[in-house]
Amino acid sequence: MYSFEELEQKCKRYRLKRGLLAFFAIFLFVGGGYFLVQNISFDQKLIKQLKPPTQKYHTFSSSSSSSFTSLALSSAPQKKRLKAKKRCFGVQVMYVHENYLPQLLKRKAEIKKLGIACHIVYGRLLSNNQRQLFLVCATKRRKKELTPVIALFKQHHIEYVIVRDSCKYLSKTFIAQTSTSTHLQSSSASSIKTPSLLTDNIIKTKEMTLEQLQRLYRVRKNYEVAIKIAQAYYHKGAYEAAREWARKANRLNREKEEAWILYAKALHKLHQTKKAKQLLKIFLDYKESKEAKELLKKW
Amino acid sequence: MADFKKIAKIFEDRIEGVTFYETRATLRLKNELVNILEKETRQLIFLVGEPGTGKSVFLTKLSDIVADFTVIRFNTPFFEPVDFVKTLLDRKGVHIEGFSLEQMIAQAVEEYKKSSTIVAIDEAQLLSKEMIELLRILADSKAFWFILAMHKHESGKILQEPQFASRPHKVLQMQGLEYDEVREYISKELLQEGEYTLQEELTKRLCKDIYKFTKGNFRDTKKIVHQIFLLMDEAIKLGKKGYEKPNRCLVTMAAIGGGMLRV
Repeated sequence: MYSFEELEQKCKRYRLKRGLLAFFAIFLFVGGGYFLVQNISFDQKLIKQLKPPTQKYHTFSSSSSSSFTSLALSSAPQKKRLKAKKRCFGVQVMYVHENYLPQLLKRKAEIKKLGIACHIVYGRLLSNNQRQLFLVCATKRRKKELTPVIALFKQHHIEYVIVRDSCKYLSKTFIAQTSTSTHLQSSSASSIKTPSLLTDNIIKTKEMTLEQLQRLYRVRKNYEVAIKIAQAYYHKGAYEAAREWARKANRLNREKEEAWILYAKALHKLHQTKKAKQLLKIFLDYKESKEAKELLKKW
Repeated sequence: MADFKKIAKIFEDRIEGVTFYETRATLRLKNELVNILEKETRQLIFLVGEPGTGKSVFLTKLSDIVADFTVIRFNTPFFEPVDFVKTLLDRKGVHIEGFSLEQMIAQAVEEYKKSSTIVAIDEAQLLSKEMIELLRILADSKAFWFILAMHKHESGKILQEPQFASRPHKVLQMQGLEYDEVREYISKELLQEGEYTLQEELTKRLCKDIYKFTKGNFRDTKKIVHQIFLLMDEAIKLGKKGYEKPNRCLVTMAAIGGGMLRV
């Protein structure tokens, strides 16, 4: 049995406890309310972001797949934020929801075959619990640097859109083992540069032997591989072979200066300077070439 | 200044000599019981509820509720079955003819068959196994109505006893007071004593606090109000200020003193 004073003290303690609890409850309630308000406004922003896109993919053929032609773009503030984070540019070739990931990976592999590395950018989580996935290729610091890639996409009728991309993907961008990137293991061939179709920033060349190049040419006959083989033979001193491969390259692309020059140089080395000069003059009539002029002066 | 000690006595815990306060729960219970008594065959009725909800008071007032029936109420359970049967025969005012329990049971059944008798046993959770067996035999005879009042938390075990589980029986629940009934009850009691000012001073807020601590338990409600007035009386004696009329702190103190709140 408690005395009156004890009960009085206990009552005061109880009231104090209750007061503190009430204070914390109000604090939590107000805090929770504030958090909810913040969250709701964030959701509204998301809803705005999920509105139909205003930007569309560049399409080259009417029959092209429409499954990924719609591109959800962010609202203006979101764009600004993205711009602040993403200072580089990339070529976006596909946008899907995550349940279409296999298709995205398939497309990635296809583009990789063209020699362009792509990466998947994970977007927002949509209301249907599906995350947005973007396939972005050939990240560059400047838009201009994307021109060769775009040309390649146009050539292959690939729909694309230029987007902002994180610069962290710059180093990861490479051209896989393709016809357009070749290096020889020989010391003389190491100075050979990649063709102009794809610029240095995109392409990281891989050293290849002459045999590998020729094997590649058998699989994929194109100007770049042919001229690489011609250059390799030329640097090796096999001028007859170099001449032959320069001619093959010229047959594949008559407008390219390199094949003309290399053919002339090989002829010169084979002591057919007169014929070489004649050839260079013909080319100069057709196209302006600084190197051809210098060679004519030199010979 | 009111005599708080005297007022406290109104709310003292007792069964006998109290005005039966009819709550919504008791009214419901009364109707159910009357229905059963009118429509069903004689059987066992279990009255279950938390301690202090008013089961005992209800049994005390049973004879008023069902005027057509003779109510024999047992507050203290019997441990020897034979004493129980003897008491039943004594109440009937007949001479016990047999010497064995079976003979006495047969005589009791014979005597009570003709009349409408309710045997109400309070604190039935204290019944021995032999007593339970005897009640089963008497219930099977269809000579009596049995109302067994017991604590809710102990009722499950008794109801599962094979003697009861396999036989027709009814279970009636005794509910506690509702919030407005707490206020109504205190006001009514105070007004009966002519304590109009005090009735006004026991505000809604205070009654709400009382209800919060007692959770509608009739006995606890009486206990807390009783304690409040005792504390007020003590405060006057000690010369404490701020306790001239009921307040929230007094309610809390009463709840702590009554063991309803632990601080």
